[in-house]
Amino acid sequence: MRAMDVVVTDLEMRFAPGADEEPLLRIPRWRVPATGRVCVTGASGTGKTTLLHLLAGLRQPPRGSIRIGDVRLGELREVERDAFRARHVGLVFQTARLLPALSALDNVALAAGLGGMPRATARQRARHLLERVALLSRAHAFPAELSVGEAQRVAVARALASEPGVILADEPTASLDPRRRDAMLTLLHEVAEAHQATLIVVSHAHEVQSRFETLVRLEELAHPGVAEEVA
Amino acid sequence: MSTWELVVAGLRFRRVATLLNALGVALGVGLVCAFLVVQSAVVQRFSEPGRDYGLVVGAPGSALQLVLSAIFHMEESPGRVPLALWDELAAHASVALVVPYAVGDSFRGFPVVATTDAFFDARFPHPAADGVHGKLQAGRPLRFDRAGLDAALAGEASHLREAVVGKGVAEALGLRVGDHIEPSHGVADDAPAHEHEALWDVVGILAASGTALDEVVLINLDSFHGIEEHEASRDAALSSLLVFPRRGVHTAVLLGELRGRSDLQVAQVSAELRRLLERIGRFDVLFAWAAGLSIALALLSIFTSTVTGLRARRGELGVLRALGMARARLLTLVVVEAATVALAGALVGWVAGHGLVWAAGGWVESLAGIRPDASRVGAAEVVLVLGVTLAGALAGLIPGMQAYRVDVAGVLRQAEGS
Repeated sequence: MRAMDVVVTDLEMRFAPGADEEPLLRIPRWRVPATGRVCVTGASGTGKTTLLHLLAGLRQPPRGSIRIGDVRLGELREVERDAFRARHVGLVFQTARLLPALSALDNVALAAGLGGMPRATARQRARHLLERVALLSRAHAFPAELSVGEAQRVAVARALASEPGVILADEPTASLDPRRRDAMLTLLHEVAEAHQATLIVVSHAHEVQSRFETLVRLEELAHPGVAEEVA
Repeated sequence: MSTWELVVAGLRFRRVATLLNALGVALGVGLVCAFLVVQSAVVQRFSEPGRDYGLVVGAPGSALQLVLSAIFHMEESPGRVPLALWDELAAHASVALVVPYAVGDSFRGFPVVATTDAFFDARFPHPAADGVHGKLQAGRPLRFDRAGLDAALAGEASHLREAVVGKGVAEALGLRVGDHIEPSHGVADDAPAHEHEALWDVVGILAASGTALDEVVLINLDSFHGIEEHEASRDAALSSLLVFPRRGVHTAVLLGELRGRSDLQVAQVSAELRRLLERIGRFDVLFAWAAGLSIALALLSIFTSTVTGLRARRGELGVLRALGMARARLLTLVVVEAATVALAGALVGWVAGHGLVWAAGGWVESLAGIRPDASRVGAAEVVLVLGVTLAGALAGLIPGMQAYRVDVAGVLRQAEGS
């Protein structure tokens, strides 16, 4: 895996493209260096999740560009963005969002396979990651059989399945109690460190923000020079 | 994981809906398959025995009745015709072979057909038309004595009494060459029948033909008229005449000549059978529509189930897209799921349909006199299974397109409640 920086340039995103009102998101320039760990904060409805979706290539901004490593997402066709995301971007959601029809092992192996790994390698990688999150013994359990904390750990293992250069987490502890929340944040830091991945977490929770040395308020990103480079 | 593994996992996870949808398809396909097998048996029953027959000549009346009587031994003959007609047709320049029949007797429920050794001519199509030996499983052909016939018609007793029995008769009654049988006068089960008090020697057993000939007893025509009970019919000695015209225009020539006569009727076997099958076909169409409708309803069920299922699975689809699964693969996933349910249902229905035919074969036979072969697989069934699978795939196409167009960011945002 190769460490990847994330660079956002002249980004503007409105609720309705072309509308006259103030943009939802405006980021003249923002760079997160490779292996950086950043927590993006902001009030609800300020566009934190939208930013994460843009960074993941799930949405395309009408203006501006996003570069991850050497790749400008806007220059890729959709199918290429899908492949890039599968290979280089790991996503963690507010809830585990595991596929209910698949076992924990298959959920992780599926992500590895989508990232381009051959079947045997993907399953080996899935076992390794489940062991890493202390869930190898639950590898064949289905999501309905897992506790909330276990499911979220499987989700972290899934995010790492394709050995991504960037991990994006959207309020990853929102559904967890305080004890599990701390364990989850520790796990995210550990796996980002271990895999030399860039970690960007969005959260409005102070408990999450306190675990990051670098905090960026979304509103600050709108002002050039304030948060041009973080981490 | 391959797309197929994802499909199987998804179907297994939604096993109740999968099972119900597949059973719906199975019900429709099973009915259609059973119908196709029975229909095939009916068509074979009524077309195969009639193949290669030319014309049937008999007393005026229903042409279909004449054919059913002469070819299938299912109906009474419309009447009788004089022996002179046989001589006339045999001498006709357009005729290659004439086989006379006289009916009216039975032997333990099987119809007795009095005929001549012309039945064993290579030109007579059933059983196997490759000569005398091909027609017989055992024994020899019956003999016919024209002088004996003339003597019998003059009131003298016949001394030559020979019988050749069909394969089915021999099996059902355990008859072998060398046995003796004693036919009864009358053919209907409830007809007053009495035995002729004369014995016929079983001299041969017909090879199996899969036709009504398997279920008849042939006796020599001269012996038929040597029986006292048949005295009244000696003026009109024959029930029908199977006429095999020479090749070329001779069939048309004969039809032209014979259709103009009021003392007889002529039926072209192939034309009458076509009419018969057309009549049966009208019921076929009704049944086919009903069975087809049940398949259509099952496919509609797959469609609605997939559409409503997708609404509940939008979050899953969003996650798959977020993990990097391409839109085209999502579409494939949904379409293959629907096609798999349809295929599974079609295969179960196909097996169940044949099972139904196997289980109900005896009942069908008692009802219609036809025992359908449950092991027989027609090309139409293969087309049906493939067609239903394709229709299932098409039923999955619209929900598949919904999956294709899913707004992943919107779905994730909605699901996360932000």
